[in-house]
Formats: sequence, C-alpha cells, structure tokens
Amino acid sequence: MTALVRYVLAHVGLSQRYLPPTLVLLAVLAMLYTGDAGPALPAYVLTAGLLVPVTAWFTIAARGVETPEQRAVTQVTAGGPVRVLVAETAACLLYTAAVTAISLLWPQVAHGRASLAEFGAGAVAHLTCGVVGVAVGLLCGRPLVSRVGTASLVGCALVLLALLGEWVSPVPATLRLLGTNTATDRPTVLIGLTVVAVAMLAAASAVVLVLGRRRE
Amino acid sequence: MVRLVAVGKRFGRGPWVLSGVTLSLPAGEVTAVRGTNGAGKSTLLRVVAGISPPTTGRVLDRPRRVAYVPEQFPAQGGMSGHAYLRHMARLRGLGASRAARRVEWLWERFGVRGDPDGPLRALSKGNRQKVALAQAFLVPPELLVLDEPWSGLDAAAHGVLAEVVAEARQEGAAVVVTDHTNALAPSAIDAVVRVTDGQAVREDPPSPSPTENPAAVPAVSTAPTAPAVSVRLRRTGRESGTWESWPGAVPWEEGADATDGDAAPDPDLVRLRVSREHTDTLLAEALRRGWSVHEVASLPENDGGQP
Repeated sequence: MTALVRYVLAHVGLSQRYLPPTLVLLAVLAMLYTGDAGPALPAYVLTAGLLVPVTAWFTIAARGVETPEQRAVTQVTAGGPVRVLVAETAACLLYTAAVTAISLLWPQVAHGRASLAEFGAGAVAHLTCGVVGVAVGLLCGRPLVSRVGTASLVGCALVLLALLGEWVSPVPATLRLLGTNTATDRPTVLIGLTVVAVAMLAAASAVVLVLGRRRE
Repeated sequence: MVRLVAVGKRFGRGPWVLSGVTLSLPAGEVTAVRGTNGAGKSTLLRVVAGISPPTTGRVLDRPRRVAYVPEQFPAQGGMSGHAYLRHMARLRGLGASRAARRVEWLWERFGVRGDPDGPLRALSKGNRQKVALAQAFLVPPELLVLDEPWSGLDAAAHGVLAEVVAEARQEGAAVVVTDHTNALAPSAIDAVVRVTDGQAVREDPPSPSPTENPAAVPAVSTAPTAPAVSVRLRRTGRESGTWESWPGAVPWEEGADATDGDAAPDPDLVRLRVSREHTDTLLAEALRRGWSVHEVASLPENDGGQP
C-alpha cells in the first residue's frame, strides 16, 4: 500500500497539477497575513473554508493523471480497484495534512498569535474542511465525471454546497465555531464535525467504487 | 485454471457486448482470441483480467498475480519510463534495488529506444508499447492477458515477445492474447477462441502441420499459393534465438531439402521458408541476433516447396 501511495504522489507531483490549488492557497495566505489579521481563530475561517476547493481540486488532479489504459494496468498490478482508491484517498489526505500545516504555520511564523489550544482547534477545523474537500473531489473526478468542463461545473456546485449547505456539510458549523471565537470552548462539537466529515469521505468513496465499477 | 461461467457484459443500458461466455483458460496454455473488430475481444480480455466486472455470470479462480497489457499505452504527466516501471515493480512487491535491476534488464530485453529518464509520454507509440509489455513481466505472471500486443512493435520486439510468452507458458501461466492479425505461430498456440457477436466459441487447436489446415493459419504462408522465400541462415557462434515461432516462418521440410543438391547438409545452416511479407523483418532480426545470411532465394508462386 505504501508503494501505491508513493506512486500516486509521484505521478501527481511530476505532472505539476498540484501547483494551481497550492498556489491559490499560498496567495491567499500571503494577502491575509501581510497585515495584522486580528485574533487567531476568526482569521482561520478564510483559510479553512478555502481548503474545501483546494483539496477537492487536488483530488480531481491526482485521480486524473493516469490515462485510462495506465489506470487499468495500475488496477491489475495493485490487485483491485479498492486498493487503488484507498491509496489515492490516502495520498489526498496527506496533501490535506500538508496544506493544513502550511495554513497554521504561516500565521504562527508571521505573528505568533495562536495559543496551543487555538492552534489545535485550528488544525481540527482545517482537517474537517480538507476532508470534505477530498470527498467532493472524489465525487466529481474520474470515473464518475471524466470531462474537465463538467468536472469543474459539478465541482463548483458541490464546493458551494459544502461551504453553505448547513444541513448537508459539517463545514458551515465548523467555520461558525471559528468565526465566533468559540472553537476552543467546544472541542467535542469540533471533533464531532470532523467525524461527520470522515463519514462523508467514506460514503463518497463507496459511491465512487460502486458507480465507477459499473462503467468499467 | 481460470474459468468464465456464463459471463455477460453490457455498459449501462447499451447492447450486450458479451453474452453467455463460458470458457476455461488452463494454466500453461496460450489461448488466442480471434474475431473481427468490435466483436468484443478487448472487453472479454478486460473481464478476464478483472478490470471490468461482468454484468452477469462469474469469473472463477483468477490467480493473484495477473498481468495486463492494453492494446495501446498512452501516457500523460511527467513520469519517466524507468520511474514508471520501478513504481510498478514496487507495487509487485520487489525491493528498490531488485526493482531497478529488473527494470534495467527488461528495458534492454525489449529494446526500448528513447530516454529512460525522459517523460514516458514523449516515447514513440511502439516504445511505449514495449514499456507496457515490460510492465507485465516485472514478476512472472500467473495469468497473462495481452490485448493485440504486436500493434506498433518492430521485428526485434516481435521475437522477444514470442520468447517471453513462451517462457510464461512454460512457467505455467495461463496466457490469453488477442490475435487479430494471426501473428502468433501455430506452435505457440494451444487453443483458439473465436469471438463473434458477443459469443465466444472454442475452436480446434491449430494443426501442427500448417499445410494440412491452411485456413486456420493464414499468416504462416505455407499455403501453396502464397509468395514465399527460401532463407538460409548461417550460425556464427555468437548467434541467439530460434526461428520456429517467428511469424510467417517455418523450418524447411526435410524431404524438399534432399532434392536441392545439398549432398551433405551443412549443420551450421538453418533453412527457413518465409512468407514474402515477413522476409525483411526476419532478415533484419537475424542480423541483429548475430546470424549470417547465407542465401535468400525466391520461391516460384503456386509451388509447394522447390526453389
């Protein structure tokens, strides 16, 4: 499995398709933290919310690097579509962890405002948003949506739904906890929202496997 | 032995591409799948390899180590040919240094031309196809599925492919290969499956003596009417390979040789009967393999064997 994750990361890394979402994130971080962004938690709202499209974009890119022929070979070599999907998801979660670290360390280095509790709450909130983004990316990438145009339209719609859909996504509640500066007071709610995000990711994976297999 | 039981396949609500396919693919046997374009050969192979799940029916006893070579092998991204193969070798469970050595060896054996550290997508079609083939032999496969593996390959790679398929067969792999152009030598085939309108029917295995059944093996031009060439190759001491399984070539029959004026046949000479369209590739390959061309004589048409 490690070899498979390494292959997925190497492939997307060499294709440079990880660059656009990463650069968008870095640009926003640069603008946000040039001046004084105020208290730590409310400043996290923007970057945490931004992780939804950023990790969704990365997920679509990572799963679209291979041609269908290479994909077939990888599937046979790796021993089945489940293993490939698990490895791809793991690679996307590693990217999520990396962009979470960047989003938290940048303000810390620039201003050093966050306490340890705030830092921890920020990490959990960013991971929640990033995991939801990966779930969105799974749903609008191959093999469900193979055209780039359709993928970006469906992607935009699902990202908006994830950011604003109060009853379908843990993201709005997470961002509210950050925005009202109450995330550190309610750690169980914050972590509960992460669990919901992970459940969404599992559901999205299952949908991709079942519907994707029908098209093979 | 891989078994397909009443396998049917359709995509969405489209027409049935395969229906009611029941087949056995025994270990150590090469099964050639033939049929017209669009008959469902590639779909059958994808089902056998486990890429496409069958809509109805089941595939039983598929071994663990399956290798699949698609009909063409486009690539995108910046990964190099060597890096791609090394990653595939790691997926097969090889350690880093063994993977690197194995990739190096297969790259040489298939004669891939092009920068091994340049992007895979920059290689020519034929060389990408060789990479796709190399990928299938990183570890000895137990089930080898080849979809038109000859497309875009040069003569040298034809020979290597015939060799590695023969090796896999010897090691007990079940080999399935689509053979649209009948490029396989009859001696390399144990069974023929013909796909027509989604049905797969096992035909009689090809006759060992092609002249008895010329319809089954039209590529090997021993049918009396096909233009053919008599080729004599001389051993040089550093030559390699044999010619029995070369497409379009058969060893000269003993009886025909006796009337040829050779009182004592030279043991260093190998005489072949080669169909006209395969002569150039065979000669090029013979020189590459270190043989010396002793004599090339065209045979009159409509003649069974005399030069």
